[in-house]
Amino acid sequence: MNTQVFNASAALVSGLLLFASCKKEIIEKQQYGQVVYEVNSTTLYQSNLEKTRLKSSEQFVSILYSDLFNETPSIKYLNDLTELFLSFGDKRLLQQLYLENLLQDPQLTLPSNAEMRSDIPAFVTDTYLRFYQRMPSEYEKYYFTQLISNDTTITPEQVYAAFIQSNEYQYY
Amino acid sequence: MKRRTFIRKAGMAAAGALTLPYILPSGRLFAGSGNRLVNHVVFMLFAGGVRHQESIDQGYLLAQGLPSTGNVMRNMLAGPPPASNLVYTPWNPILSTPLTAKGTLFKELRYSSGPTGHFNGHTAAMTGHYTEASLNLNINPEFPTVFEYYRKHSDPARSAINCWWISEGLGPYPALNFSRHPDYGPLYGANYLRPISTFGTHGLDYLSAPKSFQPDDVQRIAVMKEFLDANFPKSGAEYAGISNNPDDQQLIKDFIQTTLNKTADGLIEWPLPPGISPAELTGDLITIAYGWEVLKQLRPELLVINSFDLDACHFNFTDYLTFMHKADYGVGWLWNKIQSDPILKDDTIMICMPDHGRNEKPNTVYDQNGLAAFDHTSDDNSRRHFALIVGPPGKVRQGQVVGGAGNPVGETIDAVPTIAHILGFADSIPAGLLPGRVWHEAFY
Repeated sequence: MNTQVFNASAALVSGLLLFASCKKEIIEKQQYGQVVYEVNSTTLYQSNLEKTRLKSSEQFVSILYSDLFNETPSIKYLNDLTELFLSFGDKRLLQQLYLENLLQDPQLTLPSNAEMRSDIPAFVTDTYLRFYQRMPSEYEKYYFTQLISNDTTITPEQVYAAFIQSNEYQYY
Repeated sequence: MKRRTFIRKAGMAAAGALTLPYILPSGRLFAGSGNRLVNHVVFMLFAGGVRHQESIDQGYLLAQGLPSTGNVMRNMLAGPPPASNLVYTPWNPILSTPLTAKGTLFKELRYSSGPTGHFNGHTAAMTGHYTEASLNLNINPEFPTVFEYYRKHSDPARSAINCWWISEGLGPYPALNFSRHPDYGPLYGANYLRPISTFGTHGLDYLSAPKSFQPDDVQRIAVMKEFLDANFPKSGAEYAGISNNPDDQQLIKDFIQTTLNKTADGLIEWPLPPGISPAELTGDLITIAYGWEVLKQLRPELLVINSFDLDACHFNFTDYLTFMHKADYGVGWLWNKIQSDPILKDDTIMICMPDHGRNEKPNTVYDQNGLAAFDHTSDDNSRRHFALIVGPPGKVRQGQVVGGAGNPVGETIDAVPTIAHILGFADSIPAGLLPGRVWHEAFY
């Protein structure tokens, strides 16, 4: 993972942990059932039940790009990709193909296997925040921590691919 | 994408991909359904609004007040080319005998009802129902498309990889691969593709260098995805589009990769006469070329493809004639390719039909040659067009002409029941759903 991104995420996670222990340290705003933590202005879902609307292809591309590269895509990039998605019927197939291309992009910096395994619970939390904009439940965190711990062949790239191809990532 | 890196690697990748054997998804592993005439139908929507005068009637420049007549569609129709006042560069036909000799021509077909707009014409041709829609075109049609009938009523039901809708342009056309009909819809829809985007610059830039996950990786990702999906209340079934099954998805991804590699390597075969530069390619010809790639690599049972460029007739009659001439070459080229393929050769019927005609009277626009342009605003002339059905002798009546001036036979909405007849599922379609009839005159 990009060091800056990782640090920012770590700071967010630390902030959230701090929030759990001492609410006065973090300002919390309730906005239509969502929590806004002012650590980095990320709006978090309290539950995946809040995600009821499908992302359009344009939203999917824009959000995925931002989630992976930590920056917004250019207008031209979005226009190009919007045309590509319009031009093909099976959108999920095209999403998969697009993702597989993004994962080859030399500009993309993913967490290393060592980074992931140095603190698996933190990686799991970070991944949920990064792609789902919510904290994992205790069960989700436990499941992934155990899965990754017990299977040394799982890579951060595979975890990311699973999240991005999941149904929850299709919704907001 | 990093195109230079890709191009360096593409040769090896393409060579490898091209030598791999394909498990063909043509449905040949299925038992045959109904009484099929053949196992493959290519429905060529020779669209953009074709005037009867310059196509079937071979009037060339007569409508412009010039005494020059002749046939600019020499691959599809019999007749000598124009001998004077040439405003286009003639290409020698690719076919030694025109397609009319290899099938049945419905010479005077009617577009009976509704506005003669392109989306209306496409919708009528692909659903078997005329439509009055003129606003909010970007929605799926009300009645089932031919793809949905095909997939639902073939026995056994077919997967989406067996039918494709390939369009020259975008606009509302991507919406024609399935309908809003409550008993059909995306579950029975076709794969849709616009080659100029998917295999053009955008495809090369963003799709041509995917990471190849190994089977073990795929399995691990699937396990994690299954857990994630189990913890989310929505299934993704609400997703508004067609979806291929995992095996077919892999075949289609392989197809896209192979075709992008061929494109990058300059290995796509173009519908051009010998010695003609690729600079002469039109959107129609590019679409037809990739339509052939779909046919050749995936062997769908039902392929619908359109041409569109000759709609330039709204403002440029010279371009209209040129595009008509080139699209005709593309149709001949495609038929030639089909005949060169041992599997498709005697097992394919092709139907060529415009979306509708064009007005009798010109508008007020003149082109660089002083030729008047024509719109299509639902006058009687714009309701005149034709259909050409070609196929194997013994299945399709050869060299036959049905109807003529003053004796219209057949309608636009007959194409869907005719395709259902060819592919053997006509009798399974619920009564009352299709108002058109089968063009029985064309078949033995």
